[in-house]
Amino acid sequence: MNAWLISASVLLAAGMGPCLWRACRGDPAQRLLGITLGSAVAIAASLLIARGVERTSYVDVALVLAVLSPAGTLVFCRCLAGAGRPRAGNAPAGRGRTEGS
Amino acid sequence: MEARHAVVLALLFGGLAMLLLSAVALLVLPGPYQRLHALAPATSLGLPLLCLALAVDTGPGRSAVKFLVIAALAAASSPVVGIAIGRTIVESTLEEGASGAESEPPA
Amino acid sequence: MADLVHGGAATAMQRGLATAVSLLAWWACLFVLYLMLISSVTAAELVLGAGGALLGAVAAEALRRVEEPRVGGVRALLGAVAAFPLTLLREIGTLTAAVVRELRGAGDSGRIVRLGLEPGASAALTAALLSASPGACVIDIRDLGPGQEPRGGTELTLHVLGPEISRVERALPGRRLS
Repeated sequence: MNAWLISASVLLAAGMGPCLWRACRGDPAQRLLGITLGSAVAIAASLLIARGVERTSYVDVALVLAVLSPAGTLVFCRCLAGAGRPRAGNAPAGRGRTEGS
Repeated sequence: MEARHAVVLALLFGGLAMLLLSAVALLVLPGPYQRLHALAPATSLGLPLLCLALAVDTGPGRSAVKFLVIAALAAASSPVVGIAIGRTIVESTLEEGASGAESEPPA
Repeated sequence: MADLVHGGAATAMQRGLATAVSLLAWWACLFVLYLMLISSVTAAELVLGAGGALLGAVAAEALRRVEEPRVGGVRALLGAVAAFPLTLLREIGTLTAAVVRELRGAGDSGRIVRLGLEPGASAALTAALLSASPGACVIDIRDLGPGQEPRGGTELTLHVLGPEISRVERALPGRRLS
């Protein structure tokens, strides 16, 4: 047991716990917040565990998570917000994307 | 190597503190828009500090750059994802028929 | 205007040059990124990296042609970028104070404000900069109509935790509308 594995355990208990709690209660947009923070905690936990067991190949897990979790969250946002129906008083949904580079 | 070990530990605890602050804020804060603020410390400061600790610990070389790439990816994508979730909350509030989200924050 | 006079050849060459530059830049960035991420550099890895980077560059160029992203508007935001690190630290303190207040039962629900941004600044970068610190969250971005000030600019809707205006917001070219 070294400092890295102890940190990973603390992070999983005290960090992932609230995220799972939030992901289980409330309306869908609120649960999405829990999932998003949960993926950040998962990246951190896998980095710490990779260092703790001294296998550098496990860092690739964190890299793949860092690339794919924003994409997954954006897919959920698209599903929750509807397929771009224009609403009265709102700009069309296409405007809501961050524009530009 | 005492100084380097101390720096690594300091960065590690700083990163952990930011991640735990984010988690506690997500749990405790009421209201949909307030919880959006809880996502920011984790990826803007928490993950970068953690990856910096691992990079310093690994020493100079390509493995250290890998950690920094992970930190940069997380820090760059998180504000964009936060904006998308914010917009989703606005639209789901409008769908519920509550008075427009722009005029007053929902309870 | 000059393109209309000199015919389509000049624009075709400009477009070809833009494509070539963009492809080369993307290829170089992806190749260097690949080299950083692999564990051992051998000839086979180099060939694989070059090929993969080319595929990625072609995809990025295709997307650039479809989306035509507006590049620019960064210079107006340099002051805000310089003010960002201190603002990040201060607003983490604000968030901590809000959490402590909430635990004591005296919470405050924050407020929604609208910010009008001048047309010279990139709205996407501004929104990302504001959202990256915990004090403000951008929840909507909208182009301003012809009758609204600042003309041709963008309106950002923010949710802020505290009443004070952060340094990043003060350094932005724009002002609060409500």
